[in-house]
This record gives sequence, structure tokens and C-alpha cells, in this order.
Amino acid sequence: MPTPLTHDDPQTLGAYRLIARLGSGGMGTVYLARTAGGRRVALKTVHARIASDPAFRTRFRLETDAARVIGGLHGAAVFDADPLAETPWMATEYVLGPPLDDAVSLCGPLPEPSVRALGAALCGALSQLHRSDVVHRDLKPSNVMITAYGPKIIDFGIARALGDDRLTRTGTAAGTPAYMSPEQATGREHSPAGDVFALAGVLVFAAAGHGPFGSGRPADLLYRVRYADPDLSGVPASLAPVLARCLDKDPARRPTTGELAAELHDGHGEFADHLPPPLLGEISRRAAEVWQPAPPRLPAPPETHEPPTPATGAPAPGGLSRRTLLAVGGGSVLGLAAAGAGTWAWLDGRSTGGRRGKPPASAADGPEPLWRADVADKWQRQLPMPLGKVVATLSDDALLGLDAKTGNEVWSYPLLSSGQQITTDGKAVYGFLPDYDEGKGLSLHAFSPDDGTMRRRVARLADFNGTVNDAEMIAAAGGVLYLAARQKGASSTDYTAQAKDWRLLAVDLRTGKKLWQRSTGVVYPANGSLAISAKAVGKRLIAAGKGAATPDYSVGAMDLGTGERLWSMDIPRERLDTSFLIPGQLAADRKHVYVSSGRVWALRLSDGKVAWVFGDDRNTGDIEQNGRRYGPPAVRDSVVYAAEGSRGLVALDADTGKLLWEEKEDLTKDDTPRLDRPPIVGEKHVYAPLTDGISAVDRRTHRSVWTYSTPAIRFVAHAAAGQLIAADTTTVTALPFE
Amino acid sequence: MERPRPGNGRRIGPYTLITRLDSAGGSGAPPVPEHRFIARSADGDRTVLVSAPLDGVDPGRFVVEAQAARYLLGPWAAPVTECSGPSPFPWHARPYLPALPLATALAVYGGPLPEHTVRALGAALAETLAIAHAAGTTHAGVSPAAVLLAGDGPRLTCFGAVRAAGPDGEHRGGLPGLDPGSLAPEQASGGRPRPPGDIYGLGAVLSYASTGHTVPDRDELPASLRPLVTACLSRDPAARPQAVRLLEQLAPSAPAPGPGATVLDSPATAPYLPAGWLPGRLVAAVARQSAVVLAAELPVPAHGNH
Repeated sequence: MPTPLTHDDPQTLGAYRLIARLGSGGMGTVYLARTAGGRRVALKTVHARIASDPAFRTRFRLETDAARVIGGLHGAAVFDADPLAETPWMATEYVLGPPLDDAVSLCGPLPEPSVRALGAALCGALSQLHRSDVVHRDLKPSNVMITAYGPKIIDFGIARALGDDRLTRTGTAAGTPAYMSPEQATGREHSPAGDVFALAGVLVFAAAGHGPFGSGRPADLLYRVRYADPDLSGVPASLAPVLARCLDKDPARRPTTGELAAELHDGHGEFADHLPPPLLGEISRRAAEVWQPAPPRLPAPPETHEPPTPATGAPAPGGLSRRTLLAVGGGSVLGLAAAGAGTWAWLDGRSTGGRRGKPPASAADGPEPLWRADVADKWQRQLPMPLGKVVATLSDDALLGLDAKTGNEVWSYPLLSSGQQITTDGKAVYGFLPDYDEGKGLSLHAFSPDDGTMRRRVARLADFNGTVNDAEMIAAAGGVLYLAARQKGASSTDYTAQAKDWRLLAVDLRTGKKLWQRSTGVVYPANGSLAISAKAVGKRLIAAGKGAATPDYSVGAMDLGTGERLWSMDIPRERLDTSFLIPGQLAADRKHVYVSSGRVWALRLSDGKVAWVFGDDRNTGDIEQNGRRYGPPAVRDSVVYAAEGSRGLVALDADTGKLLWEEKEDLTKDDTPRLDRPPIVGEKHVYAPLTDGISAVDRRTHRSVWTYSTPAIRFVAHAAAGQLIAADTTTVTALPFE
Repeated sequence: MERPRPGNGRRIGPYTLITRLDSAGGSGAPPVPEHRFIARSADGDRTVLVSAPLDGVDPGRFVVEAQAARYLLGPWAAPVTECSGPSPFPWHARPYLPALPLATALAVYGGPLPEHTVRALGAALAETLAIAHAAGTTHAGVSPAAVLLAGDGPRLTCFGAVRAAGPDGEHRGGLPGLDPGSLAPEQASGGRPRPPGDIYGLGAVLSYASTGHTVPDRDELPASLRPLVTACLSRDPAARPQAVRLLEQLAPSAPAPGPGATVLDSPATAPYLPAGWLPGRLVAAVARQSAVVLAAELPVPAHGNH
């Protein structure tokens, strides 16, 4: 869907004059462009800041190579490319048809003849790729464009030549778990049979409107891909058996593309004969739409009367407005235009306001946000991390550094994505970069807050896997990074057998030396529910997690110096308590660690014994049976704060667990506390997350002084900057913190 | 459509030709009253459908009709947007829209079009003629060659071909570009083109679309269309139905706007052109044409100022 160029888009790239925007993602922008001779192309570009990474440049070059291998029959014909330009670009045929995910959302699940014809044609495309010794590795509905003369496979971002190990592991990072093969999900060889698995998933989506393993958080998806039976509900009965065989966990038992094509379709008729009328209508519309006169370029945002924001060394002026468009346009990474039924005009109303400066408060009595930044973060796995002058936060495709004064993006590092665990000690962000050079081990890096692009390798652990899902950062404190990682060794699909490969490690951040390592007996990222939250307190590392095997919360302590396990304790969890812990929100002080579910527990740091329990015989108001009754606690100045049922905050004496005060209910308000997020404690207020916002409760009057409406569920204090940082799936907002 | 030929720098007016719109023409193809090309402006920016008169057609008459064709109304009228002045080599142009000439569509489809497609086509053309006739305009060029099929509906082109081919009062039978099967008898004999002549042409178009020729054996026509097409092709102009009546017959389900309805109540697309009105392989051919023209590249002169 072409949309106007923005004021900061270039006039030309290479020999191409830009006409309109087709789509934009975190990695780059796709333009409609033309040559001097009038050839119109889709011009994919890569943001210069991403292109500065040589690894990404290699990826982009390989993508152009792979796109050339598949050619114009089964893919988008490549006319020209310059992977070495400052802004690398690739000019391909403008594909006249919707991506399959749009097609299904527009026209509903496809009828069986369409699915069969589509499947057979995709088999042809894949077999051509495989004959050229290339596997796609990222086949998914958004990468399959439906044209009237057959599907075209696009976006070879992670396709690789067989035997070319430069990108082997990147694939695990960037692949879509929903259509990933089990072997890919476990970091093993993704052979042509893996593409067959993904193809069957795509066909299930086409026929039923849902993928074979549903949707949700990547870790959950990975688990289902590896262990669950595919969900074929909605797939015509005559198609289900063959698709089920393609979705076999064992690659050797899946049919080849040739066998599958023969089973799907007898080859009669033309592809378009098998398409339903609404889809034909959409293709027609697109074939004509591209000839509409180009919309005029958008004007630069008007000058505001606010004082100019201080220079921050941000990458490019207008970067923020580009991000605005990005957030509106959806996050497909280098995907061809996929936005729905837009028109030329739709951007006009939004482009002039801009997102800079002070947006209006959402609630009448709430505070004015100090700033707001667009950050797409679908999975919300990590709290924003205040690091002095910067707030570091994960987005869908990068680790971003936002200026704590303005919210402007100061830096971004693209390869550190939400799929990977990171941690911070308040000085820097620590994480690992996927192992491009397979076999070299686990690379741990530090990202300094002042300049995130200046990353520093902390350590390389040659005897551990460097792949995504094979390591999990746990905590950083006192110059030591604590992490769990999977040792190299016999790879097994047996989930329980993998447990013996996992180790808990301590690595000296200065020397890179491994201080100690211990067996854990559990698989770390596991099925996604074993998120652990840890905190270094004194000489101990306290960790709380949700056992994969037991329904309880498990809390444990270990000696920071040796890794020796000091104690562990199971805290009963209510049966319907499905909340998960976000790293960084564990409450502990010098005496106790505090956890909650049905009640609030204080465990002694010294031996793990229960110091006190709060919550028996309390009226927790109107809440779900067998659900959480208390939100995760927070502690400050010897007072423990937690949300109580539907009623509000309680403040407890940290030593004894005695009730100090409870929030005075405001009956004029209809606020419901969130029971899966801890309050944030300031000097003056305690900020209590609500189901649709956050409430500031005065520590003196015990009343809510304001509520601010926001979809955010992640809150963190940047005390030094006087800010309460709130993050939702699209926006990071700074509120005043007192 | 011919494949674009790089290096062929032929021009009409300011436009460099990319390819012919009409295929070279088999023996059975209905004649086309003008040369039609897909072409592009020298700066590569605009792509157009450009037309020029056949040899032997009076350039002045061609320009007069082209000028008048700028003011056509209705969603399927495809008005001319640019026109040469008086010239020995006149031309006119309209923005390019991917579309197949009816003859090409039959060749692609492999024979006569399905009845629902013919009815949709007839309804759209009847509406276009009804609009023209209500404005006192006679199209005087309705023939299979004049009908282009785009994805969203047909486009009626070749406005005034009959008037351009020869002046009133002179016998027009056998003139180049005029399809004898589509030319109403009273116009062939030199009569001034009037609305009933357009209806005759429409009958010929529907006959061609559903049988492959403009002069059908009665038995070839689908039963449901037979009375209507036969009435259109009456030798007696007075016996032919009016365009609005045809629209009513071809699109009976089109809901009449209720009292108090305004233009805001009208549907976004014509009710007689539902999704699927055009068979899949014709959609594919239209899309392919669009793709080929998108990818077509004109030779750029060495001194090009791009």
C-alpha cells in the first residue's frame, strides 16, 4: 500500500528516484521507486545505523543472493542491488498481490482448491531453491505473496546456502517461532525438510486462519513446536493427513516437496482459476493501484513553540518521526508493504502533530508525561533499564538507548532482540550475541549506556552454546555476571535429558574469567513459564522462579562467591495464578526476600525459613477464585507494599509483617489493581499498577492522588531522573516520579 | 500485448512507446479503429495509453473526437486527458490502467466469456451509454475493440470512431477500423450517429463476448441473453431498447436508492460488478500486463538529464 514519502526520505537512491513508501520496519524501509527509464520497482533499504554492522551487511548481501537464486518466477525478480552502499538497497520487482496473512485477514481462510494450488506452487518454489542448495528457513504467511499467477516467496533475510555456516545461528534468532521447524527450534540443522515443515504450517494457516502451533510468546511457541501436536482444527479433512505428515517432528518422516506437490494438486488449470473471488478482487485492486499518481511528499513537521530539546547526538534528525510511521505501519522487517486498506490521505492527519514534546495527559487528573517514545515491543519480556542519562529498553528488533531527558533515541543495537535475555547492574546492559561463527561458543557483551554502539566483549565461553535459547542472563552485580547456559554436547530433543547440559555460571566482567559453574538440573528458558527473577543481596544471589514441574514458586539462595546452593524453598502458588515474573522485580532487603501469591511471604535470607506470612483472614474483595490474592511485593525503608485483591495497596512492616496501613478506597473510582506487577515506591508516592493504568498513592494520606491511564504493564523508577518509566507494546512514557 | 522491446525508441507526441496494446490481429480479430500503445513520458514518470489514427483517417476529424472525449462521464468512460493540437500526426492519451482489449481477453480465456461476466460487462457499458445519452452525446464507436477489461470493470474507449472514419452522408461500409458487425445499418449508410446506433454496437459487443463473433447465430447466444442481444441488434433503430432499460434488465438486483438517498449512500463499487466478475485467468492476465509494464524500461538517452 503506497503511502507518501516523508520529508526526510531521500530523493534518490542509486539510480532510483523514490515515488512513495510501501512499508517500513525496524530494519529498513521499502519504497516504490523508478529508474530514469520508468521501470518501477520495490526498493528495499536498510537503515544506515543497522548497515554499520558488518554482520548485518553480510546478511543483506546473502539475502540479495538468495533472492536472485529463486528468481522472478517463484520470487520477486531482483533488478539491481548495492549491499555496499552507505544505505544498502535492493531493487526488486513490485509484486502485485497481498501477502498471505493479509489475504486471509481480508478474505478469510482460503477454500481447499486454493490451498492445494498454493501448496503445490510453493513446493515448486522450494524445490527450485533446494536444488540450488539454499534453504529458506523463514517461510511464513507474511513472506508468501499471492499473485494471480502464483505465489512468490520473499524475504530471504535468513536464507542461507547449505554448508555456509556464517549465518547458521542467526536463523534461530530471526526465524518466526510459529512456523519454525522443531530442529530449527533446537538449534540444529534446518534442512530442506525443515522448509517442508514450515510450508505445511503456512498451508494450515491458509486453510484454517491459524498456525499449527497457535500464537503467543516465542518461548511458548518454541515449546509447542518441539513437543506439541499440531492444531489442525479448521483444516479440511481431506487435507489434514498430508499436512500432519509434513508436521512430523522427525524430518526424515516428512514428504519431499515433490511428493507433497503431487499429493496436493493434480496440476490442472491455472493458478488463478483456483483463487476465490475476493482474493482476485484484491489482486486486481493492487495491480491498478500502483498506477495511481504518487501522493505528494509529506511536509516537515511544523516548528513547535517549545524550547528546543538539547542535542543528544541522536543518529539523524527526524529519526523520531520515522519511528512514528514505523509504529503505525507495523513491524514487518523488510517485509513488502503489508499495511491494510490505507489511503493516500491517512497519514496526513497524523504526520503534522509529531510525537515530540509533551503529549497530553490521558487522564484528567493524571500528570503530564515528561516525554514519550515509540518503541514497538510485542513480547514485553524485559523492564526498561535506567542507566544514568539513558533509559535502555528492548524493542522488537533492537536494544535502544533513550535519552532520559527527552526520550529521543540516542543509540540502538539491532541484533539484541527480545528473544534474548539481557540483564543490567545499573551501569551497563549485559547480554550475548548469537553465534554467527557456529562453534565458537557463547559471546558475552556489555553495552555501555553512553554509547550503545560501543559494545565490549566481556567473555567468550568456548564450551557453551552461543545460540539463542541456549543461554539466559540472570543478574549482574559487583562486577560479576551470573547466567545460565547450555554446555556443548550431544544435542537431544528430549527435554528432560537436556537438563544435564545446563550450568549456572559466574563470569568476572573485568577479566572475562569464569569464576565458578554449577549444574542446575533444569532447562533454563524452558517452556517459557520458568522465567526467573534474581537479585544479588549481600553475599547471596536470591532467585525466584516458577517451576516447570511444580506448581509452586521456588525461591532459592546461593553463595555469590562459590555458587554453592544455600537453601531453597517452595512457596505455594494459587492454582489459577498465571502471572509470570519479569526479571528485575524481585523484592528483597538485607533481611528477607518477599514473594506473594495467595498470601505475602517473607523468607529469611539466612536460611530461607518463613519469617512471616500476611493475608490470612483478609478481605481481598472481588477477585477470581484460586487466583492471586496479592500482587508481587516491593520493599523500601523497611516497609513492604503489595496490592491486595481488588481493594488497593497494603503497607506491611518488613520485620514483622504487621499491617501498617491500607489504601483508602475511593468509591468514586473504578480502579482495579493489577495483581501481576509490583508497586513502585517513591519518596512521596507509591505507584500501584492498575488494570488500565497506574495510580499514585500518597504515602502520608494513603489516598490515590492521581491515576494515569495507560496500557503499560511494565513500570520502573528512574529515581535519579525523577521519572517513572512506563512501557507498553508500542510506547515508553516517562511520568513524574516523586 | 507485445513484449516491450528495449531500444525501440519510437515516439508518438511526447511519449516513447513501450508496446502495442492490441495484438497483431489474427484473421478473426475485430478491427481496431486506432493505433493504441502503452507509452511513457521522456522523464520516465508517467505511463499512458496513447492512440493515433489509422492511415487514411482524416487527422482533423480524429482530433475533434479526441477533444470531445475529454468530457466523458461515468465510472467506465475512460476520458481522454491529453490531446495533440491540429496536426498531420495527431494523438490523444489517457493515464495507463492495466486492461485487456476484449479480443485479447477471449484469446486468453480460450473462448467466449462466462455468462455472468458478459452480463456484468453489459450492465457497465449500458450505464456508461445511459449517462452519455442523457447528456445528449452519442458515443459512435461502441465495438469489441472499444472495450477494455480492467480488474475493477470495463472501460469504453474509441469515442467517435464512426464519426472520425467518415463524414455523415457518405457510405461508411468497409472503411478501415470500422467493424462491420458492430456498425449499425443506419450509420453504415451514412446516417448521423445517434443513441440507437450505440445500442446496436453494444449488442455486437455482448454477442462477441459470449460467442466470439459480432454476428451470432441465434442458437449460439446463451438463452438468458438471447432476447436482449437480439433486440439490440435490430435493423430498425426504433426497435432497439434504450440504455437505461438495458441496465435494468442486466442488473435487476441493483437496489434503487430510496427517497432521500444521496450520493453518500451509493455503494463504493457498482453492484453489478461483484468480486469475481472477471474470471481468474483474466485477472492474472491484467496483473501480468501491469507487472510487465511496471518492469519495462525505456532506453535513456546518453545526455538524459535524470
